[in-house]
Amino acid sequence: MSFSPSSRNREELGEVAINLNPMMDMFAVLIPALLMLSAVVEVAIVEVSAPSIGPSSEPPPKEDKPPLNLTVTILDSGYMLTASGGELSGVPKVDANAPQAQIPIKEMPVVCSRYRGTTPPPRSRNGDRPQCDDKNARDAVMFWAYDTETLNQAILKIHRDYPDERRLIVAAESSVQYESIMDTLDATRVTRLADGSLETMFDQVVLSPATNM
Amino acid sequence: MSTENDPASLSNAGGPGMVAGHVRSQDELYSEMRAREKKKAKRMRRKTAHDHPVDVSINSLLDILSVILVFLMKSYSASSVNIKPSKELQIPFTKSITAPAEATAVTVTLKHILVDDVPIMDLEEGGKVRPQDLAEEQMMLQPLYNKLLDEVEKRKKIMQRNTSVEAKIDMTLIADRFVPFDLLTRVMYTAGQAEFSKFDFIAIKLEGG
Repeated sequence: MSFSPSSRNREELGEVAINLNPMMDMFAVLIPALLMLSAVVEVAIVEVSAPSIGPSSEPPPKEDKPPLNLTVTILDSGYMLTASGGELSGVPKVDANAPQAQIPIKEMPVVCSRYRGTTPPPRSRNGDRPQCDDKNARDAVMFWAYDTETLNQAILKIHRDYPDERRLIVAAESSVQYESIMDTLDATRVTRLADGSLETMFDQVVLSPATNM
Repeated sequence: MSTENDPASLSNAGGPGMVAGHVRSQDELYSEMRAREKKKAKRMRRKTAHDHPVDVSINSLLDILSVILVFLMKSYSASSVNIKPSKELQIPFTKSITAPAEATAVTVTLKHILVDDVPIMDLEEGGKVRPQDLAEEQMMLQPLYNKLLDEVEKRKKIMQRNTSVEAKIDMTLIADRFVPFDLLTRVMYTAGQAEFSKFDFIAIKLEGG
């Protein structure tokens, strides 16, 4: 007598339906949350060293050449360039008794898109001008503005004269706003050459305490 | 045996086939019966549909959502600094392309100073420091200094326990575009006293560099 083969193997497995609704609910919550949290703007950094006040505890390193100590001072009236360790070619010397900007602010067309709801710095000089808004965001409007292009060219010339120097001291009047400092750092760190390549100039920035002139 | 649906039984005298003395034909009775069955079947279908909802395949939709979720989570983790620009915090622009790294984030607006999104100090109108918060020849901001010391201690402890962590005490400075230089240097001086030596100024990357 023989047994009939087992019918277990011949039984077809039915399709198992997994309840995906909880997973869908989770996705429906997570995706909007992540979309909300994801960075809308892309940010970058500019490295800066801390300001030092008072005499340094460490003795200065012995070098063959004294450091240039190039200092860019941001005034309400423009940029002032000084260096304790060398001559700055192409930049007029600053009179110690009556310091004034060698690269003064000038009235120029400024594209409004960056300054919606305000005016470009120095804002104390543009107070009487109509503010940039959504309507004129794409227009170039006449404002008093820092001449970053001329500063960039002056710094490039100094960099060519002192190619080993990378340290720059940035000082400013106490009322100068952070935006002007960032613009100055951009103009002194890197320049774009005629062939489109970038040249690093003074990328070791030290912020000096505020001055009042 | 006759049933309700049997036309023969329906045509019997006195049955449902007799309406007002008129005997319906066999065809009429059959069509009436078919219509009744159709109605019944439709009712049944509706009832069944109500009891067991139709399964719509959501697998492809789930695939799409999974891809979106992974992409969003990856892009979220890639940015170590999360900035929410607001009316109080308008960040300036930069041509720099260096990406921010993980560090203690100090946010400076004209109204408050925050450390890792926790308000530490309130400021007076125009970003002026309240006299009671000043110390050390008017340069140090005492509440900020205390908080930053805690942060440095925390970082040092982490570094002691986990030697693979790079020994860096850096600060990310997120400041409003209108913050005066005076306040900025005070914040940096205070941070310097608390052993922070390198500062990363955060700004919005300009398109095209």
